[in-house]
Amino acid sequence: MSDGKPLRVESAVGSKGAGVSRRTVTKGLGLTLGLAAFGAAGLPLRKAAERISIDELLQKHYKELSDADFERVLQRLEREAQEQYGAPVEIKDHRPLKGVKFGYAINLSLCNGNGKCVEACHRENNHDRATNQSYIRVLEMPKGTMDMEQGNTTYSHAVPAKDSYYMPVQCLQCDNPPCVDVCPVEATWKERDGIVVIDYQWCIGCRYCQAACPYHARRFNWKQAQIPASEINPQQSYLSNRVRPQGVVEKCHFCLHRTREGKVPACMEACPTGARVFGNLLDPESEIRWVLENKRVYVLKEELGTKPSLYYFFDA
Amino acid sequence: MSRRRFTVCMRAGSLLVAWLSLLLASGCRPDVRPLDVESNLEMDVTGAKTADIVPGSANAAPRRGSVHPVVLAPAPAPGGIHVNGNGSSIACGTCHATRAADRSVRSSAVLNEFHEGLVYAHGELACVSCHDADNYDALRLADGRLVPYSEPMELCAQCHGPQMRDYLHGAHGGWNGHWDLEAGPRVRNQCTHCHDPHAPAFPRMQPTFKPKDRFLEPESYDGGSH
Repeated sequence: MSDGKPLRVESAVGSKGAGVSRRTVTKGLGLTLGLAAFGAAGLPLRKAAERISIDELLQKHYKELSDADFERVLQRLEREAQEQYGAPVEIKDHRPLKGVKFGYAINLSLCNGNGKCVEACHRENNHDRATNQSYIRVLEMPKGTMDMEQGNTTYSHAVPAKDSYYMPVQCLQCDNPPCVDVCPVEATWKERDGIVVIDYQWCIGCRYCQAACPYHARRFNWKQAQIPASEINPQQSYLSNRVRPQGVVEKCHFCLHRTREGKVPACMEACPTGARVFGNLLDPESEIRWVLENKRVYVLKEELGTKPSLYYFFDA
Repeated sequence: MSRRRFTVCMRAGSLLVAWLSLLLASGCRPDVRPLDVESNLEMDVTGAKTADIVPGSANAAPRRGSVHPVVLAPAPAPGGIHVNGNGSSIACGTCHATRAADRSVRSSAVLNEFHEGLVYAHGELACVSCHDADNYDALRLADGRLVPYSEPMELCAQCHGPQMRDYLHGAHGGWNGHWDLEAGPRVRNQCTHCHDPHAPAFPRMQPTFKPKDRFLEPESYDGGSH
């Protein structure tokens, strides 16, 4: 090795005359590899570009769309859903009702953790079939604690188990939502009726909101949902249960395509124990108001100041 | 977009209409007195009758349009009985008309001729605490009034006051359909839809739909490449 240095000098000097020096070869090789790596790194971007039409790329924010533009967007989305899933769908735009602020309460004395709500959400909201995705998690909690982190979602035994209670957790539609605060592009916001919504076309998939939510309520679309045509729920809304694009965040929206038509959410309809109470917080006659005024009500992680619209309560 | 305003939730009037219509539909025997609607409202033990609740808050918008009914689903008919091991469903009175009632029976263990296999786990009640010894085709309230099998709620509420109070306020028993009665009707269960009157504890259930967590169960995750 001691004679390596003189050798390199010699060859470097010699390269000025004739042939290709090792340095040039190395440079060329490095450049080629670098360009190839750059190209490969940009591949997902180019693939994404193939999927996104110019219309989609230039689409404005939900709040800034004109009626005519929005009509075209809905038509495009319906056409794409038809092409992709082979099922005719109707995508509407449900606006908040005047004089309505939604509230939800779950009776932890009645809930037995059977998970029918989880399944109903899965079907209603066109979730990916392979992953059993749903906006609801039912936590099996040891009695004597309210610490959400001690909950377990993977139980498979008959319920209710001894010394356990069951707490379904979904988006609590906070009045002071941390997820909205952190969104860098204002793709998520709180509507007049209390529902926190997402413009799936505006979301950039940074997942800040997912990290900010203290209730683990937001989900990320790692891949495009796979749903058989026969299982697509065709009654859809732009801000709720239309099939979401890959790479965006989604979450419970109190089934706004149902509730803004006066119906109860799918999870409440499916609950066999009668543990769920949904209604208008501004209506003093509503069931939800009676529950909040007369039952022992609990707010999940109240100390964080998120002011949820979903409450838990107990009998007795 | 709809301009519907406030729901008129759990309106006693609607419930009343629903019950009355069900009564008519059930074709109850003439000796079964119609359900006393006034007493139903008074079952609300909080003292505030649901009928008394009037919209009056500053937020309440004036009621508009027609209000849809709260429909009470008919209670499940009494199950058949087993005679000599064979299932059968005949009117209760067919057998009970010819046999004197044994008012002392408080357990299914002594039922060795008929009603075999009946599981009974409802406290220390006797059969005739709820059934009428003189007319087995109806149920009997503590004050002697009869109620049909299709509407047992008043009977249950004699003991289960807090549950009935919660039920009347929509916090027990569930409800389906519309939260906004101006948009559409609502359907409600009765006690016996969820509770077997002879063994009323809510049964244990087997969860059938679980999330597939790709970190916990990689083999069950059919997610393709990652």
